[in-house]
Amino acid sequence: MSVLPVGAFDGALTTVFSVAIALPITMIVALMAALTVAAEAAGAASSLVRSAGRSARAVPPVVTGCAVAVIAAASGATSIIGITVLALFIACLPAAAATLVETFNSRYARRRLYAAAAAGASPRYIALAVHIRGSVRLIGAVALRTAARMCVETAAIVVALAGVAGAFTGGPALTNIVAPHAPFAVVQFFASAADPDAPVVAWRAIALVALVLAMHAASRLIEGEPHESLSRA
Amino acid sequence: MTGLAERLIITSGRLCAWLVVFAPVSVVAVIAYAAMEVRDRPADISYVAPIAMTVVIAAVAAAVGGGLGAALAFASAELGQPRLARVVRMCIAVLRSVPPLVLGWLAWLIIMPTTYSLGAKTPPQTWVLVAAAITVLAVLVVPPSFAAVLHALDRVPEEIRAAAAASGASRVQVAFQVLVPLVERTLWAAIAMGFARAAGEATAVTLVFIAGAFFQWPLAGVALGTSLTGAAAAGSSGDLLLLGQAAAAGLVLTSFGFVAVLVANRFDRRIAWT
Repeated sequence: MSVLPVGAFDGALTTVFSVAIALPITMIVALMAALTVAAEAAGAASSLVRSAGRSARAVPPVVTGCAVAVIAAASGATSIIGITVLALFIACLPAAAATLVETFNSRYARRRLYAAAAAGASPRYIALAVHIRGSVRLIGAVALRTAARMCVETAAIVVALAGVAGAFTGGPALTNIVAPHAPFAVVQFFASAADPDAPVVAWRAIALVALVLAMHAASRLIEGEPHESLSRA
Repeated sequence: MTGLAERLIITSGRLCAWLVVFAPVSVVAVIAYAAMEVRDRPADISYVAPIAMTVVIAAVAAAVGGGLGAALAFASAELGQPRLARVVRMCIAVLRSVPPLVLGWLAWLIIMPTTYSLGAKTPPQTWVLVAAAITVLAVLVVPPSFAAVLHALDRVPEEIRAAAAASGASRVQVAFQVLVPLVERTLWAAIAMGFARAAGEATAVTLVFIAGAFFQWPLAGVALGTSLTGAAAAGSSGDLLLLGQAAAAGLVLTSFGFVAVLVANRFDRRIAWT
């Protein structure tokens, strides 16, 4: 197995670009879906969106990556960032939407909603002020956790990129996805497989853990202690 | 806001809701289509051994990781001191932050060389790889299982604990004779969801099995996720055969996931699997 050239920050830019594109799209779609479900305007989709987070666990990221590879290979797409964004979007959307639905349907959010409706608030006020402004910290926390997941998502992107590279160029495909064009986690995956003893692999692993830990800590800081835990204490 | 704009927003919201629902469905549809496209062509890779291996590894990892997560949740919420509970929760939070990619690499660094130095260098030693994969997957299952059982314990009314304590039950008796039966269904659901999580994990397991290749150990019957990754990567120019075969493996993997989620829903529909 050949050793891939790996620098400490190889792939970081691709990850930043991909997450910068995929995260807003994912959050906007998830937010719109969650608001519609909370307003009981989604019809038959309501119950399905509520359980989407759990049902989507049945489809592993590696399978999502395979589907993205098939779509990209069939359509002739070769952009690494485009394929990465699509894989991240499909992999993270159901969980983000289900969490937001849960947030907007919590006891406290419902109480605010009923109070606003009883006071004669318009649907626009309920959507913007009651749901979004009232839960802005929780929405921020969900966004941070989704970003953390996107930064370290590997299986979906590896299979998607490797599948496309294999379909188009022939031969051993892994070397076609060279650093620094692939996302950080993907470069790290191939580096870990090729040269696990290398110090740079260790530093990159520490960077990944630190990044996720910082994002999770920030999301916890933003959302505060859950009400249920406070009531038990 | 005009009625038209309001209707436009509601319609786009409905579209987004259906997009959320159809995202996983479309994934399954695409891989089913890809698998059907190559169904008449002879398979280059046999997936029988990987399927059996995946079921074994995922089942053991889910049982071990799910049980450990539940035990830690009980210990921190019901049995331990508040300071110990805080330490356990902090450790779980740190563990949750370790990506599977890093866990697989750590397995390479810790488990493999240790086993190698203990004398397990003569092939075949597939069991060492399987044990390493189970360990890594069990570690991945612990945090969500911990969160699920902790959430279930939070839902148990305080009055039940107080009533049991007033009847003279000790904390251990309350935990084992009152709370365990109450959250038992959540525990089974957590194990089922853990199976789905472990069966679908590819990154960490792939790194573990690649580590075996370094030692010239046999990789026959490696997990399905690993086979899928390899098949997707090994396609040749313009030939989607291996990608189609990977899609077939993906269908099997997804069916495992669906069965596991159905079983979990049967036990506890409100399980907080985060």
